[in-house]
Amino acid sequence: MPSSLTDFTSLRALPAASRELVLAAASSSLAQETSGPPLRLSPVEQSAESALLEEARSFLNIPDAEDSREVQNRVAAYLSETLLRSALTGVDVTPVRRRLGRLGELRPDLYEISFAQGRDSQITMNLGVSREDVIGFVKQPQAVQHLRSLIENEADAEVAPDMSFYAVTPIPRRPKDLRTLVIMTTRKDDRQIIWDVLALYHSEFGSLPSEPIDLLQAFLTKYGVDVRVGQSEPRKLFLFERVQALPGQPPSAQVSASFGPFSGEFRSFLRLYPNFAIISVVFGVNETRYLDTLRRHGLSPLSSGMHARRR
Amino acid sequence: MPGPLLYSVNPRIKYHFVEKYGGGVHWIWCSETFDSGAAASLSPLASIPPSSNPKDLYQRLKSDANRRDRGSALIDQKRTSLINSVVRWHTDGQIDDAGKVEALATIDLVDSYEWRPLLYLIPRMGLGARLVVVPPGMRASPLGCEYQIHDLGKEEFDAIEFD
Repeated sequence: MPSSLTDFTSLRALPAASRELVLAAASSSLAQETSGPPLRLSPVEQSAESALLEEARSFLNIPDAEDSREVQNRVAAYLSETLLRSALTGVDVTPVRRRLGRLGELRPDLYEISFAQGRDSQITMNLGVSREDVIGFVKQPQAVQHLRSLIENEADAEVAPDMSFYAVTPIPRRPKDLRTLVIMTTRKDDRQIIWDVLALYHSEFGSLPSEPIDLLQAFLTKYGVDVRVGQSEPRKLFLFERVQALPGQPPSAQVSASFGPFSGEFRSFLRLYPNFAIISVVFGVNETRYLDTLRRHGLSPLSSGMHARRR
Repeated sequence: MPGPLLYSVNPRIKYHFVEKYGGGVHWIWCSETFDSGAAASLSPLASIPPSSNPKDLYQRLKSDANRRDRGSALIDQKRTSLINSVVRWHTDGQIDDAGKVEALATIDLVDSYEWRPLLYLIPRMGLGARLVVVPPGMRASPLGCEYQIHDLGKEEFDAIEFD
């Protein structure tokens, strides 16, 4: 298979600028979906185009008699992919990769994934999954939602970062352990850090939504605690919003959770300013209730290990 | 009697590419009906097959993009078309070498979810001769009427997403 355009005999005699044009013209002539007028070719280029189509069919081992719509689409895709590969050979695509990552538009398998310090052992022990399993869930998600930080300033956005929420329902060893995992990461360009993996056992919920943030809401309806940020009314989830700060109070008094007699932890990514707070996410979990559920499913959890992170 | 709207289904990424690299000139296929399956059986609109019916296209593309199906034949077709468009814009001088590489790298690295569909709702009024009837040999079915518009500006249509 050709790896560069000069591997095609039909293109070798053409100037470099013509090769891509002929390849695109050949692909367009076969493609089911056209999105522009035919590309204009010189007589020499037209001749090369005809030879290229023959050559491409030969590379793909397509018999002469076969010319169905599927075959034409296959040849068209092959030619355009060859063009793309050739154009990107030796090119540093890191800036594009970072930009797409920042927007949450990068292919999931292309993110660089790591765990927040100490979180991998906690997560794998509590949920009975391997580190590789969790990374695999993020790289091949069943559902994902990416959210952008409300803060443009890069330094401030470190504590109220871009975030991604994943959902996956792995096949369990025992049917009664069927669960959906919600994975929460912070995102910076094309890198993601895994902070939390929360398990929703289907036997504990009536029916579950499919989107990760809806699943997080469902999780917190059952295991969440009321949290207050600044002057806000208490609730179970704050997500990508701005709230007024409590006047005259130190940062340590701006976020509080009502755990009552239960043990619990809260996760918070927010930036506190003198008069307001910009939140990426804040929620609290009643660990007594949540860890009890994990134990009922044969796990030996320690604690969620959540901790506050704010500035 | 023709309806007031025309319908076209395009991937979201194509919309943004045309705006960013293609000078904002949208070259599209469109149909007089959103759902040929709902047209009266003897109407020419009923002859538009699923492969060109906006409703079917929208649902297939949405399903494939939501599942991030990297083996999707429909996404592959759209991808082939967009790669060729980038070369056309480069050849026409609308983008320079750096723009071409950036556009092709984006196609290569972008999440399949970005190929999810937008439905263009295009008021027919005022299009006049810009609404081109596709010759029978180029249609998915010779009996079903399909159209092209070669120079549609974004102010001439609404692009919507729905479940």
